[in-house]
Amino acid sequence: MNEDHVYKIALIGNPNSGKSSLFNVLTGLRQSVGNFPGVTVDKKQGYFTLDNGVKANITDFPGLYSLYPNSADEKLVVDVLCRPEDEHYPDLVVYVADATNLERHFLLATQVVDLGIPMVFAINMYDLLEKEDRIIDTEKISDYLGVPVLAISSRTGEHVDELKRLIQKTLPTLAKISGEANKKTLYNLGSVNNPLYNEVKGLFNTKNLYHAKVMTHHHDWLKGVSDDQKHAIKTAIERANFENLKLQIDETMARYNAFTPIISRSISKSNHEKESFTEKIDKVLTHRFFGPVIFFSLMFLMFQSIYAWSETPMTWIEDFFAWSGNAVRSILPSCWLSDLLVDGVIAGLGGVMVFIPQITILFLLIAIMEETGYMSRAVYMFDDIMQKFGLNGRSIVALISSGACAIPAIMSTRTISNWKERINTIMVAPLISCSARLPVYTVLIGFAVPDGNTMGFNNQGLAFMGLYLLGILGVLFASLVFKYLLKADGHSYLMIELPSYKHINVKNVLLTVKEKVMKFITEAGKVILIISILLWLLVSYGPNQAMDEARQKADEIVLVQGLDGQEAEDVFLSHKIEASYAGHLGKFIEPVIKPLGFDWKIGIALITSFAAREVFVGTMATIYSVGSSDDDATIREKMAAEINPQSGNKVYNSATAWSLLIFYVFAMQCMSTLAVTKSETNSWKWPIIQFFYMGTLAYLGSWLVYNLLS
Amino acid sequence: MKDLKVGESGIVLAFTNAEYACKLLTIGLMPQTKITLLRKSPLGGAYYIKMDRQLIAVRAKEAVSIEVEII
Repeated sequence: MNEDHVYKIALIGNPNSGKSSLFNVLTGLRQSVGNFPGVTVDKKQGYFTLDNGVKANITDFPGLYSLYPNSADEKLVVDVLCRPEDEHYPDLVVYVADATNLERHFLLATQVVDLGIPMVFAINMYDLLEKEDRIIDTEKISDYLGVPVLAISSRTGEHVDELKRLIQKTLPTLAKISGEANKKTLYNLGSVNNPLYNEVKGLFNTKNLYHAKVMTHHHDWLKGVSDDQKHAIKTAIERANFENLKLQIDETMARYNAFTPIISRSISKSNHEKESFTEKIDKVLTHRFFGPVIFFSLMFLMFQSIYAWSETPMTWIEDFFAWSGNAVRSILPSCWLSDLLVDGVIAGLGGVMVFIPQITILFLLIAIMEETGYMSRAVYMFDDIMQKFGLNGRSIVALISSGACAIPAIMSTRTISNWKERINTIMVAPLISCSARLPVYTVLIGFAVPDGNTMGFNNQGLAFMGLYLLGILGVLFASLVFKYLLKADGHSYLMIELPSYKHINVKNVLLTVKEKVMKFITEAGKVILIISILLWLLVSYGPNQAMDEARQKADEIVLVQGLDGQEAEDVFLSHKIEASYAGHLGKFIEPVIKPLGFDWKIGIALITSFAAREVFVGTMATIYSVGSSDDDATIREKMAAEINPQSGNKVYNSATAWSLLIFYVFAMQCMSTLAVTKSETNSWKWPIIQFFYMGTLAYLGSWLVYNLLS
Repeated sequence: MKDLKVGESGIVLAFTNAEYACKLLTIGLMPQTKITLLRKSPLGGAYYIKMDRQLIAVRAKEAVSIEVEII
């Protein structure tokens, strides 16, 4: 055996089979998350080294129930398993099955065996079976499947080392197994369609006739099938009178009929009638009345705790970036470089990093809801309501996640198999106020709402809640509109497993959270860094002539008014901003945004915010800290002191602040979200529609509010 | 399925919609399976079903195509 060769191992199994926790146990922290090429299905990969020093690369594939897939995630797995030329095609499949529900896991397992892919069959959650005093005969199962079988527990780590040894023992024999590719399949294909399957086998040089059958079923969407081949298969299908659905049903039924007796002989019966712990809990949690009450209370508590728990760490982060800025200033001599680093890079990065506590807590709570199985209950409870708005029960996962960030929210829609419902969810999810809007709301709400209490509630807190509700109303309204605009495509259906409540696997949860937070930091961080530098350049430089004039004008004012020191500096800098490229840009769009009550400075912030909302605060920081070197005044104080030079009134009066708030509730100001919409829908059409419909909502909403209030 | 009341059990006889039947089969819901309707969703549009030891949720309007003999 060549020791440099890296073997490819695929973890395959149903959802909720404990596949991911086995993956975590096998790889430890030696894992990374990437994307499969062309699609944004998460590719979790890790390495482990076998006792003999041989390296194995292990990939955790999305869970699926059979080789006849429904959603985009599942299709990807089938695509890889059908095409040996694919770079992810495994040398060995480690099939993960749930011991407490073994019958259901055999359908896919026997299908994969029949595809001629070498397999090790791991019966997971063995510890739960032992708890019920049930025993299992792995030899009988091994005899039936024709592959090595081992009972393990990824939760307790029991027999995981044996699994590694079994993998090690199986790998060198791969050549032998592949040589047997033509052996009899577990499912007897019959002979009716043999000419068709033989033809397809010839076209793709498939391993056996069953492999050819699966390719015949899926030729329409499998990658690497050329138009000529598609045409050839279509002709052959018509000739053979191939009944797609019927043959799927026949195969599934035949497989069940074959393996059900084997399973009942290999595993001792459980007490079926006993009401489980999960059923008892669900009597309350999914109760027709108390279920939703509990759900909304949980949501309320969730968002409350996000604010409460994140406050202190957010102050630490802010302090850290302020300290870094000062440190850089004290180390570097005062020059363009230190300005760029402090006012551009550090200020910009600080603006994003300050969200980390909120995002982490929200991702943590969502991960806990997913891991325990509560999320599936929410899907069940709200599916019918969601249906009325053209969404799917699973949309609730996306809408909750959107409260943190629309990016993971849009990605979570992959489990929605109906295209129309999925697009609708993707289109409306960004209307939920995400954590990037929070700092903008925080800064502006002070101008919109005076301090004080109404019926014991803090006015600004109520306004905050109002903005969130406005986002939710936006979702309801927009999804209703999309429901009627989008053309139906295939049948929508819901069939969701309600897994038994499990103890939370802390390691799994923490890894998920870490993964998502890192993704946010790197994705958002990149954009913000570039925008901050660009913005700093735009603010610091301008057309030579205009900059000279601004300097002269400032000199005159300083001379006439007899200013000196700080005041002279302020006058000079504010003229400089106005003359800079950023000032020109802001002035250029001022006529468009004037009806909303915005001036050119807000205009600059709006332009930069189109990259990402949170840049608003950073932009204000850049504009105002470039505009005055007085470092002690916070951005809010500076904004509050801003006077409109024409009218002499305050720029940030209540009407402007409300108008700006409404604008930020509705507008699509996030390049990353648009990019994800593009990659998830595989078309520019949807991000463009998303951008314009949200922009229109924002503009009309702001205009209305501004004109009502001023 | 639509005649099944909350708390009642039945044996699946047949499916009247082939496409939907395919999906049910993949999770092990097939003719001769015993199912129990545990409860309905707040608006009544979804069913909470127990089959063997498994708990699943399906839509009421889709479940119409599952023919069940009440026991």
